[in-house]
Formats: sequence, structure tokens, C-alpha cells
Amino acid sequence: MNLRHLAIPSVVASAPKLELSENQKRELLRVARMPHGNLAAAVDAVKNALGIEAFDVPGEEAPSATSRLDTSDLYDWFFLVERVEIDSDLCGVRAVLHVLSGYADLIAKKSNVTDVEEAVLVEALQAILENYGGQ
Amino acid sequence: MEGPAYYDSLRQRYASPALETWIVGHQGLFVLCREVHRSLLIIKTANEAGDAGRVAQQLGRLAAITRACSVAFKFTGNMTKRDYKRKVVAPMVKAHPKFTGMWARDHSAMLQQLHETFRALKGYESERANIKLVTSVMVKQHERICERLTHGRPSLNAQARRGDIPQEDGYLQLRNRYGPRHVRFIDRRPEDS
Repeated sequence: MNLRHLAIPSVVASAPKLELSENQKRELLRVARMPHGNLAAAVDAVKNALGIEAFDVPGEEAPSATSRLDTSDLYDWFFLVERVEIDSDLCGVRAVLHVLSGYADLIAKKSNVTDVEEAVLVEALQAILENYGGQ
Repeated sequence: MEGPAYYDSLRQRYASPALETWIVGHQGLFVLCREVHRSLLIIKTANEAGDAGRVAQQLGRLAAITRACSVAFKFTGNMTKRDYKRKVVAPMVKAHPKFTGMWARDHSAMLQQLHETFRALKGYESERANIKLVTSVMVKQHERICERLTHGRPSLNAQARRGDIPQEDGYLQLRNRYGPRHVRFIDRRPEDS
């Protein structure tokens, strides 16, 4: 799927352009739909279901002067994001897990996110994975 | 110093909870906007294929993701005006001298897809009303955060009118079609008015 211009964190942008297998999709959906106590637990459960090998890929280094960052938009460097034109299941799912994991870390440090708002983020994780799962 | 090293030094020099929230919040917003884009695209293609069930299913997912966007907008702007000015605006201006706090380029692809999907659903008024409703909540939340943090500052639209912004598509999408009273004009193109 071609999604122009929208940015994703650079630490996941260079993930291999791999599609998830049908078994992986089913497992991710099954885990995402289980009840979870909070966003961190939901993200960790899905990460575990995806498997450590999905995160053990090249491209986790900080951006360099020769990276694929869009130098025409200086904010990309500031925000540590890249613009990708070729989408893949693995790249997309890792991006979602990466950013929601970051949100969960911030939520743990603060008390200004309500339980309902955190539940909304968990619901979104399920909805997004349903799209990647093709159901 | 230039390139990524310069931006890394900015992040380090202004390191603070406010800046961390700002950066992590935006990374999340970019990805959630990407997923809104994906849902809108699926709705458009499913409608063209006559798959009403998939359209209905996707409307539910679109609602869930846009609700998350609303939370993410609030989350990203969750800081005092003082912290915003000292810990966010200061490094952002150094990153880009025209920073106003109302940058829209990163949402423009999503907004363009919103427009395309809406037009593709012409004749399906229930679906159009549904999309209008769920996206209006998200955009309104963005407006609310922008208004709170950037009140009195040079606005995005003012820059667009002066024509001194480098990437116009996102700004013009917002100004002409979606904001600030975007809900009433969501299905109108500039040439319609």
C-alpha cells in the first residue's frame, strides 16, 4: 500500500519490507483481542507474539548523514522520523508498536492520562492490527 | 555542525519532559495519521468493489483510530505554555526558523485521502456523515491544542496567505477544505465556492 509523505520513526523505517504470514496475523489478532490491564501490557503481549526476530533487524542505529531521511524537511531529523513510500506489514506493525510503547512509557511517568484515554489507545491497537490482519 | 548531529545536539541541549512528550507524541501522531489514511483508503476501495460489509467494518476501525488520534493530540500538547515556549518552541525554531506550532504538512496526506474517500462515497450519505463525525472530533482536538499553545502567535493560515511557506499543500488543505470550520466544508473543493 502506497502511503506518501506520512512519516514513521526512523528506527523502524528501514525494517525489511516483509509481509506477515497468515499465522502471524492470526496470532497477533488473537493476542491483541485478549483483555490487557494497560497499554504497556497490550504492547508487550503483541511484541512477544510477533517474536524477537521481528525486532532483530538492521536499521536500528541512529540516523547518519547518509541515512534515507528526507533532508528537504528539517523536522524529520528533529523528530527522528522517515517518510516511506513502500509499506509492509512488518514495517507498519513495528511502527505502531514502537510509538505505542513510547506512549506507554510516558503514561507510566505521568498521571494526566485517564484510564479511558489509555483504553482508547489499546482499542486503537486492536483496530490497527485487524487491518493488518486483513479481517 | 550540521545534519543529524545538529538536531541531536538540539534535542540534548533542550532535553526535558516537555520536549520528550512533544517528540514521542508526534511520532505517535504520524503513525496514527498513517493508519487513518490506511483506513480511509480501504473504505474507498471497498466501496468501489461494492463490499458494503467491509466498508461498515472499516468505519468502526476508523472511529477507533481517530479516537486514538484525539488522545494523541491531547497527549502531545500536554504541557504548560511556559514549558512549550521554553522547551519546545526554542529548539523547534532552531530546527526551522518558520516554526509556528501549527505545522500541517505531516497531516496533509491523511487530509487528502479524507477528501478523496469522501468524494468516492458520493451518494452514500450515511457513510459520509459517519466519516465527517469521527474525523471532526480528531481535527477539533488538534485545533484546541493549537489554539491553547499558540494563541496570539503568527498562525499557519496567516503564513499561507502571505505565501511564505515552503510546503503549501498541507496548509492549503487545512485552510481551504478542513479548517477551522472544516466540518461544514469537508465535501467542497475550492473551485466549488
